[in-house]
Amino acid sequence: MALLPYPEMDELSDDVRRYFQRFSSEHGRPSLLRWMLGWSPAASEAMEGLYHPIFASGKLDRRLKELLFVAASEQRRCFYCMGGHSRFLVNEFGYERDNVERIRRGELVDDLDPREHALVLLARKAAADGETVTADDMEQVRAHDWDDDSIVEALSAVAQAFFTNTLAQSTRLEDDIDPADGLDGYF
Amino acid sequence: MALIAPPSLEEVDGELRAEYESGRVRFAHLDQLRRVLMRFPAAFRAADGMYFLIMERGRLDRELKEVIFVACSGVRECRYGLAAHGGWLIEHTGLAPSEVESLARGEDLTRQSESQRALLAFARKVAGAAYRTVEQDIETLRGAGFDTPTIVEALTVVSLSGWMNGYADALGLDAAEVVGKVAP
Repeated sequence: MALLPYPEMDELSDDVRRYFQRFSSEHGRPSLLRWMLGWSPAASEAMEGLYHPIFASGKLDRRLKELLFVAASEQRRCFYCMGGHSRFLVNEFGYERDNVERIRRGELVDDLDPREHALVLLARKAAADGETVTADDMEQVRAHDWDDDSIVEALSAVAQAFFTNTLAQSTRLEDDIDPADGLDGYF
Repeated sequence: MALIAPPSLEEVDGELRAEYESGRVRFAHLDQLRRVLMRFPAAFRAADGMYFLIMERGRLDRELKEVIFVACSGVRECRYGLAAHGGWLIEHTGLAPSEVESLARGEDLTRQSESQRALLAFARKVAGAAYRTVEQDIETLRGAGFDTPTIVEALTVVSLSGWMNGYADALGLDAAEVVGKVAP
């Protein structure tokens, strides 16, 4: 059980209810993170301007940004964020569960391009301790033909993890998975 | 010098440049981050939106939120976060640089109430290791008079500071370039 109660529907502002409906139209229902944020209309609105714009626009495709997000969340030990988005990668992008687990640990697997692997490694390092990221790290990523716009975009998936990991870990959000897909909880 | 240079303003799309210019005074303390984020417009716009919504709206006042931001940046040893938000506190609330340094070292301020100190202690704990948060932490906050919506609001400030610290550290943003800087 989470450390804080979730708001009841009648406690939500009209705007937050509308955000819930929009999220539900894509994912079936609001995530527990969104639900908890429902206590704050301002934060709910901020989240509207964060997740979808970051993941659905730019040069990098959503699949890659989800990989970067789970790699960063794994590094930061956020089981809620890592698990939920790992399941998304399996269900929406056709990854094998084992490969998602290996990719997020920083391993190079068959369905991961070495160019993408370079970004995953940068994401993990930035998630562990951003101060350890060096000019050499940036050069290694550029050597894989990523430009600076793409690197900033990749780091945006990491920054997103910092935001949601903190909320999920501090409130101890529980698994909110639908077992109908056959996966045994968060992984 | 940052690990990734900001784009020159001439390279930036006119609409994005206008958005940057319109927030230049309001977000002066975050100028370096905003300039680098123009490389990815969605992140630039998310940054402006989040700062406005999380830091300027809600129940907790802006000064307390900035104090929380500085305290969390201190826990994470993010010099850019300290300089940017410490600078804002100095410029807008009259806090002395030595008080910002105290906050960064984990000390409380004499001007803070007992309830504010409780909230700050909670924020520091979450910033350091969010997974260590326990029921007792929440009970302590409730005992200090904070209800659930206000606790969630405080957590969004801690999370936003993590978001910004994460960018600043990974991008190697330079604390010395911050407008209204303080010695971190």
